[in-house]
Amino acid sequence: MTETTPTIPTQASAPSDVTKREIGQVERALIDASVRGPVLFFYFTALTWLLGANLLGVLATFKLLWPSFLGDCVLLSYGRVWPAYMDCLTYGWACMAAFGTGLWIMGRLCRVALRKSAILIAGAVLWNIGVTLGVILVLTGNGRPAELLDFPGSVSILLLAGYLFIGTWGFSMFRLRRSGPDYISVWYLIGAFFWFPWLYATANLLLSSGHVRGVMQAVVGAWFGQNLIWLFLASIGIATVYYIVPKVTNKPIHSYYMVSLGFWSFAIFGGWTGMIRLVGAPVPAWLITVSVAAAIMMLVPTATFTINYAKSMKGCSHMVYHSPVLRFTLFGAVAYSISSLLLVFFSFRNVANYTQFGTVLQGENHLGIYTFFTMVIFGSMYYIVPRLVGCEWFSSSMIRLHFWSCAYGIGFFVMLLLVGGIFQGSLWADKDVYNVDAMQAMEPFVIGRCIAWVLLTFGHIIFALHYLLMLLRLGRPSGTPTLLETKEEHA
Amino acid sequence: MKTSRIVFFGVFTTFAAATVGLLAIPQFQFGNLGPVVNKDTGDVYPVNVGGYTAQGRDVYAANGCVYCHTQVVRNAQDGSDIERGWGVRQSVARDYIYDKTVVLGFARFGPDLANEGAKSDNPADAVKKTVAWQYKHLYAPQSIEPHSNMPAYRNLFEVKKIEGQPSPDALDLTGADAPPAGYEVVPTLEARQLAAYLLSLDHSHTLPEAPVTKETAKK
Amino acid sequence: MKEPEDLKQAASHHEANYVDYRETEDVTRVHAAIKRENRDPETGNVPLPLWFLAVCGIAVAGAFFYLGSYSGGFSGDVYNESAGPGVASSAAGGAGSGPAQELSPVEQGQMVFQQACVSCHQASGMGVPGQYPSLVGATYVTGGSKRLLMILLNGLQGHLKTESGEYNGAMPAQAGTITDKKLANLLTYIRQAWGNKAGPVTPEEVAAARKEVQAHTDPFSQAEIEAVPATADMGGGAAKPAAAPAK
Repeated sequence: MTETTPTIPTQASAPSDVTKREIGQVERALIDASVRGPVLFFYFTALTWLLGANLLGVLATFKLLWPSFLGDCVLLSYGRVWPAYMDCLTYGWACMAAFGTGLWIMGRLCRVALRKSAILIAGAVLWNIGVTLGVILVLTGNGRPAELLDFPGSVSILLLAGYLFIGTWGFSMFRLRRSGPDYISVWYLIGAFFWFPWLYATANLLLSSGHVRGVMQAVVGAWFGQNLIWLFLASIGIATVYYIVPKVTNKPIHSYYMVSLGFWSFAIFGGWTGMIRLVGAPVPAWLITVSVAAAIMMLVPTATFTINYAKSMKGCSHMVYHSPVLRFTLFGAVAYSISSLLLVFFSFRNVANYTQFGTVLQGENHLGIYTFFTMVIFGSMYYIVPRLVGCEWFSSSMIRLHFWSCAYGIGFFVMLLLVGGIFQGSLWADKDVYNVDAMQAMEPFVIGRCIAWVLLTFGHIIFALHYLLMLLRLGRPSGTPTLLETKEEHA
Repeated sequence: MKTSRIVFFGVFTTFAAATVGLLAIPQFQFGNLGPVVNKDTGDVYPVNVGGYTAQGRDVYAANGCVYCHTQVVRNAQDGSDIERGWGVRQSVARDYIYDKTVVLGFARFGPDLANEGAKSDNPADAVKKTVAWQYKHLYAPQSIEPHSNMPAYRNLFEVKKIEGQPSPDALDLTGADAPPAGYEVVPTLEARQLAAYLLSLDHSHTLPEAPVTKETAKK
Repeated sequence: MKEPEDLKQAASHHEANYVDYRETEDVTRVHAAIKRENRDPETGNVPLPLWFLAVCGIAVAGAFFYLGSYSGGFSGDVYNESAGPGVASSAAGGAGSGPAQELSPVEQGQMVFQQACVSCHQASGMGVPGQYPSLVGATYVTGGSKRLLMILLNGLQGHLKTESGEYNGAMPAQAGTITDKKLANLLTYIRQAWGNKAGPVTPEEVAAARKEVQAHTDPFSQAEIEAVPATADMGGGAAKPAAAPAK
C-alpha cells in the first residue's frame, strides 16, 4: 500500500507533444481510479446510514409527541431511540462520508495514487459492523448514558480498528506526497485524521476503565462531544470548502496569511470549547469560563474562513444559480459562520440560564452535523461522484428537489430547536409554570419538527435514489455537468 | 516540507494542551474528592451505598432516562431550579463521587430528579416519596399526570395472576391501565432497584462549597 | 497517421510504467469531468489587513477579560462564577459543619441511618427481600419503643418473621458503638420516615433501656422480643407514644 504507482507520468517521462495539462488530467484519472471503489463504498454505506438515521429520528420526534405510538415497547421509547438516531447520524452517516470525501481530497492534493485500496474497504466494513452492533446495543439498553459515547467499550475497539486502516491510508498519502507547498486543506485533513483517533480512544478508555469517577465523566463526555463535531467534522468540512470553492470558481484563496492565522487559531482554541455544553453543571466555574472564552476566540478562525470563501466567490456569485456543488457547499459554509456566532451566544450564562437543558443543545449539534457538515458533504458528493463513475448526474430536477427539501427541512428543524429551546427556557424560568404545562406549550414546536422531518426524508430518499442511479452508471453521458439552470436561462 | 513538520507538531501540541487543560487539570482538582466528615456529629456525606441504589442507577442509565431528566440543581443565579423546589442548594461535584456511572442528564422534558428522595415540605412533592407512587408513575405516567409525555415503562413490571392473596407490592391502578380481573401488576426486580435508587437521590445535605443557607432553603 | 513502424514500436512498449498517450478519445469519453476541471486551488499572498488584526485583537482581549472575571480564582471550590475565591471559604464553618443552624433530631437521625443502616435496610427503608427486613410499616418499628430498643441495643438473631417476610440473618448489636443521643435520634427518624407514624424516642429512654438489657449479653431471639408487650414503652422519658402504628 505504501508504494506509489509508477505509472503517474511526469514531464520527463512523457513524449514531447503531450501537454502539461494532459499530464495533469491523466494523473487525476489515475488517482480517482485508485480510490474509486472505496470512496463509492463509503458513500453508499453513509447514505444507508443516513436513511436509517432518518427513520430513527422521525420515530424519536413522534414519540416525544405521542409516547404510546407503536406501543409501549421500551426498545422504541424516546430514551433509546434518540441516542440511536444520533449515533447513526454521526458515526454512520457523517464519519463515513467524512472519510470518503477526506480521502479523495487528500489524494488529489497529495497527488498520490496508492495501491491495494481494498484495505480501505476492510476498514469500512469493520467500522460498519461496529456501528451496527453499537446501535443494536443502544436500542436494547446496553449503551452508556453519555451523548455520542453510547457505544460500549468493546464496540469502540471495532470502530478504532476500522479507522486504523482508513487513517493509515490518509497518512501514507501525506507522507508520499509530491513536493511543493501544501495547500491549506491538507493541513485541516491532517488535523482531522490525527485528532479523531486520539479523541475517540481517550474518551472511551477513560470512561471504560473506571478511573474517572463522578462529574469528571460528564466533563469527558462534553469534551468529546464538542470536539467530535466542532473539531473533527468541522476540520473535514472546512478542508472541503477550501478545496471545492476555489476549484469551481477558479479563483485562488484570498490570502495565505489569513489562512494560516485561521488554521492555527482553530487548532489552538478549538479543543478548549467543550465545557460550553456544561454551563450550570456541578463543575467549578473556571472550567466553564475557560470554554466560553475559547468559544469567543474561535470567532477569529471563523472570521478568516468567512473572508476567504467570500473573496473566492467575489464576482462569481451568479455561479450559485447553476452549480449544485457550489450551492450546497456555500450553504454549509455560511451555516458554519453563523453557528460559530450562535455557539458563543448560547454559552453566555445570561442566555444559558434559560436555555441550558432545553432543545438548544440539539439545535447546536444539528447545526454542526447537518446544516454545515452534511450540506458541504452533499456538495462534495455532487462534485466527486461523476469523476468516479464516469457519467454525470441523471436529473437536475432531482438535484433541485434535494437541495430545496434539505435546505428548508434542516433550516426549519434547527430554527424550531433553537427558538423552541429559548421559549422552553423562558417558561421554566418562571417558577410558577408547572413542568407539564411547559412541555405542553412546546408541542407546536415538536409538530413543526415532524413536518421538517417529512421534508428531510423526501430529500434524502431522492438523493439516495439518484446516487443509486449513478452507481449503476445510469447517469447522463459525460460531457457537460448537470447544472441546475443553464447559463442562458439565468439572465 | 518544513511546514508539514510544523503542522504535525502544532496539531499534536495544541490538542495535547487542550486535553491537559480540560481533562487532566480538572481531574487533578476535583476528580478524587472524598466525602466530608463532621467530627462533632460523626456525620458523613456522601455515603457510598451499594445494593439496590447502585443497581437502580444502572437501570436508570439503561432505559434512557438521561435524555429527559437531569439530576443537576443549578445555582440560584443560574436558573430557577431552587426556586421551583427542585433542591435547597446547587449540586456540586462532591454529590456524585460515588456514582459509578454519572447520569447528570442532557435535557429536561420532565422535572429534575436530583432531590427525588429528599424530604420536602411541599405536600405536592411529599406524595412522590413513596415507592408505590414511583411504581405507578413508571407503569402508567398518564394516570398520574394526564398530559405527560413520559413513556410507560411496562417492561419493568409484570402482569400476573393473583394467587391466593394479592401481593403487597401490587400497583393500585384504575381504568384503562388496570389489569384484567384476577390479575395484578407487580414490579420486577429492576423496578424495585429503580424505585430504591430514585428515592435515594438527595442533594440537600449541606457542604462547605455549597452551604444550605436560610435563603436557599427558604422555598 | 503514423507509419506502421512507429505504431509497432508504440505497441511493443510493454513496460509497467508506460502510458499510452495516444488514446485521447477514451480519456475524453470516460474522464470528461476531469478534463474540464480547473487547476488545483492556490493561495494568494495578500497581507493581513490591519483592521482585521485589530478586530481579532479585540475578540481575544474580550475573551481574556471574560476569563479573568468569571473564573472564581480557578479554585475547585467555587461553583458560582460571579463569586470570588473568598466567598466559599468564609461560608465554610468547621470541617464541613455548614452554617450554625442546629439540625433537628430527625435530621441527625437520618445522618446516623445513612452511615450505619442504609447498606442493609436501604435508603428506602425497604430492606432486601429474604435478607434484611423492611422497616416500612413494621410493627417492631412503630409500636412501643421497648421492643425496638432491645433489638437495636443487643441485636437480633435466629429465625425472624415480620410483615415483609421471613429472615435468617443477624442484626448486629449497636450498644457499644452508639451514644444515647445518637440512638435516640436514629429511632426518632425511622419511626417517622417512609410513611411511618410513631412518636419520638428520647435519650433518657435509651439510657433506661441500656440498663435493663445490660445483663443479657447475647442478641435477642424473636421469641424474647415477642415476650415483651407490643405497645410497651421504656419509662423514664417525657415522650408520649403515638396512636396506632402506621398501616
